[in-house]
Amino acid sequence: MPITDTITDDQRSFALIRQGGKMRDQGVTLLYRNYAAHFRKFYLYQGLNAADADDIVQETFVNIVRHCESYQGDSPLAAWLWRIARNCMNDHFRRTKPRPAENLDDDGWSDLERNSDTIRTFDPPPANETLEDCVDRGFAEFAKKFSERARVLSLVMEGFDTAHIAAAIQRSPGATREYISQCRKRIEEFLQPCREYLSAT
Amino acid sequence: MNKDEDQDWLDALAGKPTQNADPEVTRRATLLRHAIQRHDAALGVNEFDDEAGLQKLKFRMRREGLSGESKPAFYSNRFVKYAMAASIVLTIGLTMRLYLHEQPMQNEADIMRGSNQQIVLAADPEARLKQLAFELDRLGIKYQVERKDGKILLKAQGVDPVKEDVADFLERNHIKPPVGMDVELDIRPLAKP
Repeated sequence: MPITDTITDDQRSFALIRQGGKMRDQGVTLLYRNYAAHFRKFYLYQGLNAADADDIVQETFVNIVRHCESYQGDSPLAAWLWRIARNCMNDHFRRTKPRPAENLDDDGWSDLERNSDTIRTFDPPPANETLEDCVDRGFAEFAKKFSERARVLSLVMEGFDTAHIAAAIQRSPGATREYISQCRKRIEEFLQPCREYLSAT
Repeated sequence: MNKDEDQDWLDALAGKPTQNADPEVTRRATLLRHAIQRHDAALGVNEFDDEAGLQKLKFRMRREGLSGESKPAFYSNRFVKYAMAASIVLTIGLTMRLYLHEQPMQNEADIMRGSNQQIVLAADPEARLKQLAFELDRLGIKYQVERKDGKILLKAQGVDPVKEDVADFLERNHIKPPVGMDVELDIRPLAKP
């Protein structure tokens, strides 16, 4: 997914939305094409099914349009958009059911680290497991336990730069760099059983 | 893990070319990259019909008045003036058409309804009064006739629109069924050109 000059494009699209009238439709179209799939992916990573994710994407854009005048420019526009996306998801969880506890606070890793000697216990590998199967399994377990960190790795995989990831996870660019580095360390833990396959090949 | 190694790993994860990177670091990152792609595919990340979603969004925005509407400030004063002028011309035109009609109108337009009173326009008000009074007598409905300044006011009591013959009378004479049981008809002459 190429991300080219998105921030400037976002600002242009947002200005059209604020302008109202037919310009608004044009702005919504541009912003939707740039963000909808990413919002939806975020919701899917947080454990929502496709239908709910689609509904919350709609809700998010409606709220962006409804509150477009409240954006004061005191934070990056992308961060403001992602905040609305996150709030809409939280509203959904409040209305329906609480989120799984392990997803509530991804930074709970530090507490877990302090309180537990063993961060991850490894299940025995299934018979005839390949290296790819092992990595798939490791990432799936990681995503289940640390959805936000898994999403960040997915954003890196898609080619997002630090500024965009910072906006998506509501952190400063510096804190985001540190967070990504931590994500690497954590996923390496989950992929540790795959080292045997790596050394064998 | 040093910073360079971190960056190499991130580049490989993003599918960017890495130069002088430890092949083992690149290999691990590439394996993870493919695992994430398979994970995303399994989640249905790529099964997003953004065009359908966009159309749905636009429909909802129209329904909620968020789309295609200019802000109030967008309307120029000139637009408002033209709209008001058009409304006035339309009102005058319709009023003139109604009053300058030569023949009594045999449709609902010859009854102009107020809150309690209904205006009946007739080429010959006296004849119309006679006809209405005759029908009211036939239905056994009590009424009074008042005349003032050339106007004829026919006041009928006990007009029950639920009764079939009364409903028929009201319909034939284009009189709106009363909310209560009383009807006041202001019978006026049609203006001639």
